[in-house]
Amino acid sequence: MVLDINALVGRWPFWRLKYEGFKGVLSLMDRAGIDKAAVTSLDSVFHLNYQNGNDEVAEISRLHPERFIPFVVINPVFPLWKEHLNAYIKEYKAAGVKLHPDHHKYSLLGREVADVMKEARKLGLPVYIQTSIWDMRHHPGYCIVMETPILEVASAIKAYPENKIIVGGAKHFFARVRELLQHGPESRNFYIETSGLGFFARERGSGETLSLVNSIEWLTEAVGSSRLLFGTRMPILIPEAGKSLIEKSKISGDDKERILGKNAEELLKA
Amino acid sequence: MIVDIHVHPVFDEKVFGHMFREAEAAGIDKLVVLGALQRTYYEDEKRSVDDHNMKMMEIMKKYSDSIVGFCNVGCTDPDATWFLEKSVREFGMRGLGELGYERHWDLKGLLGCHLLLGKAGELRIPVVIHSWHTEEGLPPHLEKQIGNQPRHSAHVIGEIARRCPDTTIIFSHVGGIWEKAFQAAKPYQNACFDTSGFDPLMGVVERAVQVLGSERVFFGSDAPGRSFVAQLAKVQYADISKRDRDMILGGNAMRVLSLR
Repeated sequence: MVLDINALVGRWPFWRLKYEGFKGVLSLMDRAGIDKAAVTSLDSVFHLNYQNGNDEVAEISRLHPERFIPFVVINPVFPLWKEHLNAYIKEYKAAGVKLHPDHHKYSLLGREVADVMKEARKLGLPVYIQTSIWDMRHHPGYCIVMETPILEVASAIKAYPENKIIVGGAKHFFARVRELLQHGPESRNFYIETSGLGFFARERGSGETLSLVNSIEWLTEAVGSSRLLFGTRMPILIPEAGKSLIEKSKISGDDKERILGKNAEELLKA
Repeated sequence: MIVDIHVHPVFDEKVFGHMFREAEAAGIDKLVVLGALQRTYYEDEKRSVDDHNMKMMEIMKKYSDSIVGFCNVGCTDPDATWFLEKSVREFGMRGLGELGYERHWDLKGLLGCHLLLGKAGELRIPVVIHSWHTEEGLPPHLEKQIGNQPRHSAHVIGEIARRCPDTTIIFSHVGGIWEKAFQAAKPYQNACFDTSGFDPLMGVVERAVQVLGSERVFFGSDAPGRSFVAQLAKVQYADISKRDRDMILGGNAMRVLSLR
């Protein structure tokens, strides 16, 4: 089972995407060999009312329950978010909560997020924190959205040890993840989503020896494959890019299986 | 034939060997190793241009079938054209770049380098220029947070190409914000782009082919920073014809580098 933890339906405002919308995403899933996808809508990021996107996700998950796993985007600075959350959980059994603190403009350390974390714990849902949806160096001047600082994510991970947190990002995300691990090496309540990890790392070993490792191999060694979740950010990114990155890494077949789907299955079942 | 037009030099033998094997495993046949100058992560190495090129020679000798070396000159060096000619004629370098990474130097400075760029045209070698243009009107604090690489406005891309019509210029990273960059370059057939160094965004390669034609687009990875596999996917999975894909993956590089 290949399970993508980060697929996106809805409309992308910055250029025309051939595979926009749920039909496009389904065809990409077929093309890339992805069985299921946890999905949210870009309309939850860009529309004034984030619920528009959640409504769309509710509808497509009802139409294609065998392919789409609904996550619900919550904007905790929007009035009545708690009621919205509970309604979506009850109506379409959302399997997780997703936050976009960069676009929705709040701190992960504020009272609002404390409330979200509390609700998520109560409902047994993982919380996906998207620090940035695409590399902000590409953002047009009229819409530059600064990414959520990774140290804020590290603090949130420490502040909410009983929550299961998924972290995804964009610009130089591998460097951000390494920073995150430096600041919270003892925390084990978070997962890293792989879509922004197409990098190598130069590692200095004992003495002056240098080696080059790819990000997936490095992270499998550093935190274990059980903490990595395959994600694509399709249709903004090419799904095969992220999938090949894992498939072609020099890690065991078991590790690949875990990253590509097993970890997410276990997390969502739990 | 797959040719990666944008690989940075690594002068540690073990690391270079590892990078080379990763490229081979990804199905890449040839690596163009750029002669980057004073990039941030080389700052501690304090290498002179000359030393840098000698190191490149060693790599080219060791991997003669698979490595194409580019030379590296300081754009503001008064001897740059002399050194470029020497590197090409005596040392077998087949291109110039990646230009544009010198510290404390605005990329607009390249507008004053038409002698150097013109010399590259005379020698029939391509020039790779680091390229990431800025958006107009950003406050300084935002510029700093977005990234500290050299930036310039999109029209500089077109202007450089206009001033050096006989030189093939490959602007890296699709110019940053590609929609503007492609339009700025469109009138100048010598202005090309490589696909290196950003997340595998959907539709960028297709757009490049639509606006510029596949003859002006080159596959590049930006290794060893970026992974070959993820960068290759941008071209391998783009919705373009087989002919266009073949041109971008290697045909164009073979042509401008005069390789067989």
